[in-house]
Amino acid sequence: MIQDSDLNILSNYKTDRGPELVEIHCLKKSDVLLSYSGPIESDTIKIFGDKVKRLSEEYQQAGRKLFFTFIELAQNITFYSNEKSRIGRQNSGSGTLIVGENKDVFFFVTGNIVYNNFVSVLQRKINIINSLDRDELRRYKKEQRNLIPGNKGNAHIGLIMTALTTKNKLNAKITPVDNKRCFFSILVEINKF
Amino acid sequence: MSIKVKETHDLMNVMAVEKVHVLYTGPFDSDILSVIAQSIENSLTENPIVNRKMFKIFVELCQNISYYSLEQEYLRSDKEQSHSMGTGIGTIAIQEFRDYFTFATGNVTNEKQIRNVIEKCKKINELNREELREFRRQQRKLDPSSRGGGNIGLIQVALTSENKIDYKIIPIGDDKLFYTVGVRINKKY
Repeated sequence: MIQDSDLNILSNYKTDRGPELVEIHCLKKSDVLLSYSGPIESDTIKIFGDKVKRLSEEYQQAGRKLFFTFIELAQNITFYSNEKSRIGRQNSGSGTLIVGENKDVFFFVTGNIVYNNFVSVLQRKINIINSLDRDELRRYKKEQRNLIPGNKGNAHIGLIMTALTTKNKLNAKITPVDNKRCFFSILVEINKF
Repeated sequence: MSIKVKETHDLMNVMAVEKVHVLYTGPFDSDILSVIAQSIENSLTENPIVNRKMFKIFVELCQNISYYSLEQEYLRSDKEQSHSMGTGIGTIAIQEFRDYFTFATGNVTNEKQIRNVIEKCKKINELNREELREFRRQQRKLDPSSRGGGNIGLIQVALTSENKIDYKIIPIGDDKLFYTVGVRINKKY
């Protein structure tokens, strides 16, 4: 028989501020299909991308959109995250990927650490994207594609493509990490029907 | 936006300010585990001894989840194959502190399945290194079915980490329990 004392053994991995493992796991129970935080490089994107395809295989069109969005936003972490991990001989960005679903939508959350000065650029870009309708977004994508090569890093074509693909707004969230950096995350929803 | 979606988004932002190297929840299938293993082996520290220890512990604890988790994932394509087995679902977290890393896994279980594992955890934590080695030898001689659920993997984890096993059982309703097991891995060897 399990004793009451077994139920409350202090855990080394429990942090003062962070959630416990059970909280993270139990989100899985209803909505989250998979969540991953760590180094994100090409193999990670490929394997998790395949998994996303399989998990959404019952909804062909939504599944394709989810996969496309997954690749687009996961690649941003590899290239642009301020937090780097060394895998083999390469430096890869670290970040978080969460894929989930409920009755009507799949959702996908990506997040990574960025410098504060870059956040205002990103936030401004997202505000512009969210304010445009579909035709305006297409025109905006063309304009951004025509930017001179040196400015293309600021074009965020991936974000525009995500908004066009999902046909939904981008939900951004910013959490300070320290004086210079914050955690920037984007949540997008993909309608199943 | 559903409440769960918002909770997930909020929780993720909390985790971001912690020094969490790897955090994964989902099916523990071989493809995903190999990607995570690669990250652990190559990117955690400059110290190959620590990386090797982390890798060994990863293999032992993740195997337990893929075999024993009560939550299993069956994809449509799996269901079409009559003899297919599901994949165990669980959570793994690697976090860094000043002098050590912590490695923890968690999965859903029930009292019947976990009773012997808890007994084994208690026993492992009472033994010193030599006694642990002897205990492992005894367990290896036993028939797998008579080892009583607690497996050699946990003894191996304690020996590899050179620290006590930290375990916890949390009731989550419907007679189900969430079992977490974690260890510290010191940064200096």
